[in-house]
Amino acid sequence: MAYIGLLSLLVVMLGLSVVLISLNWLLGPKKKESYKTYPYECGVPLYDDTAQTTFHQGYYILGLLLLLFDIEVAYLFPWAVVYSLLGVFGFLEVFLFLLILTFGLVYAWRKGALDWQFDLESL
Amino acid sequence: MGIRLLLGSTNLYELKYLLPEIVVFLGAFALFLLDIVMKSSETKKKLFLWISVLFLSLSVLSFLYKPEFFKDVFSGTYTVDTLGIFSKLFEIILTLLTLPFLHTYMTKKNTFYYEIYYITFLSLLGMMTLSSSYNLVVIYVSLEMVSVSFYIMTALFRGSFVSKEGAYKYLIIGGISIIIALYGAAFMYGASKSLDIRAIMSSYNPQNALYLIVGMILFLLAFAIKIGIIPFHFWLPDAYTGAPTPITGFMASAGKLAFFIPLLRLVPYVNQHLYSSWMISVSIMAALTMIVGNALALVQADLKRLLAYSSIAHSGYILSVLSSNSSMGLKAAIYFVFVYSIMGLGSFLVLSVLEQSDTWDNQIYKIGGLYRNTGFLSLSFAVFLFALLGIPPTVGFVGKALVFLGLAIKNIYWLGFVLILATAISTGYYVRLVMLMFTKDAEIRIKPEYDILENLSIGLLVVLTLVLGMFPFILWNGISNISEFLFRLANLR
Repeated sequence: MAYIGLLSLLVVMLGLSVVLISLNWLLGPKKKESYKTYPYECGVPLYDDTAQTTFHQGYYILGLLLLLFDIEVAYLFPWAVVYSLLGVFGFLEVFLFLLILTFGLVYAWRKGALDWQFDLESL
Repeated sequence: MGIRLLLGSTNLYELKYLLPEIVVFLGAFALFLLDIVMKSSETKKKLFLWISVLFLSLSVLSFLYKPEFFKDVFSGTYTVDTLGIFSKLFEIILTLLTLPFLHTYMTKKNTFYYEIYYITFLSLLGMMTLSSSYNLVVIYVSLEMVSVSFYIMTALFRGSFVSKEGAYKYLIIGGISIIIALYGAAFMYGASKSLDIRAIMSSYNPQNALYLIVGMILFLLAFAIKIGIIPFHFWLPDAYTGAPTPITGFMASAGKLAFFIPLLRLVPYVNQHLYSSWMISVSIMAALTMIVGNALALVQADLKRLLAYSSIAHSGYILSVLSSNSSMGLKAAIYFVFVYSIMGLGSFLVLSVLEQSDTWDNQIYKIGGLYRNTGFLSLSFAVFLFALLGIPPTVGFVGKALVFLGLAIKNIYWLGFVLILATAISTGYYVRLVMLMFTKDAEIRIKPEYDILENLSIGLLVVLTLVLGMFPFILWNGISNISEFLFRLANLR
């Protein structure tokens, strides 16, 4: 009986979603438009409708850089928790860590990974 | 406060024991900054070569300052000892000999990347830390450092499909190897509650025996993948063929040397309880590698692939002698690793000079009559091939004889006979190459150009191959002491 609250929550959840979806389907206006079935791509016209052509590796490089700095933040969290214990030594270590990552960013910048107007020869 | 305690025990003055490593790291950093600041030009290419040579020479010179010959620094995670110093010196010198070839190769093939210089430096740094630690975590980190650099260096060949394919295979299988090493390390840590290989192996007792053996074998298998031992060798010929040839030489010499060192350090600590499982796994892999590697090399039509398979077979020779965990066996293994790094690098470097001419495409028949085209190159190639085969005046003979002695001292004669059989198989392709070079008419016209640095480095390798073969005691005395010392330390525990 201890989990009766959880069970009722499940029932309410399922009931509410069924009710809301069926209400929407019953009461909503139905119009056929070509844009309704059009795949959404960031508000720009679709590049190709088969999604099987190659796309530029610039996307890949930007994604990689984003991932890199995501991971950097993940590394900074445990440091921030024990910051007061580590003192000056910990500050210097993290400063070096960030410095090295910054050099990585500068490198990517200099090599043209951040230029959005790609020139095939520069990459 | 555990953290305070840990920080208190970090002695920064111990950095003086890491002087060569620090010089190599500074070299990598200087090259990196220079690459960011400077625009690409002919002067920059020359400058990169000379700065690399300068920093590597400084690193060699920094070995003159040696505070102590044996010391555990940084709470025992880093060991300064003669084996480490010796192998680090070898790795730096081998890199130094490779760099001029890398420069001309990339210029001629029009695939110049400045990154390759500092990636070479970083992989060298990884090799140096790999050669001087007993700590599982340090070994893991430096293994990754070397491997990731190798993946990148394999892929750095503009517009070549083979290069990308080789790098991809290397990446996937190298990743698997790292996972297996970590799995083994977890077992070893669980069995002994220590990360130091010496403490782990001497913590043997009947309760933790199973975990210890599983951990040890998994660790061995991970290194077997990295070195290219036969059931796990599939990436090696592709990666070696895909990489720019000087890089292939670098991977086959300095890289193989560095990957072998942790295994060599493990050998004295394999006690009589662990010996039977160690012996079985090592000797089966070694016998397979020697026979199959040489048999596969026999049927290759591509010269670079042939040398790659020959490199696999040589890993088998070195691994075979690890099965006899005696002082003599360890001496033979260390000797053969150093010796193979000399002759392997030499053969790949000769190939890299040949590859620079347009008519050359690595097919074996193209080597026909090479002597008519270029006397110096074909003579030095013949010296390296004879050394790889193990003909007396060269250093390869000494290595193979020592391996046989090391096996005989523990009565592992069957492996010794496999070694002789494998050598007999290998005679087929080495001698065929020499015969093609010297007796046939010229197949193609090759006019190889090499500058003074390249001439010097091939010349030095040839001289080393011959002189160390005629006077083996130059290297032997040092190695003999190293091996005795490692065994004495292991017995003290």
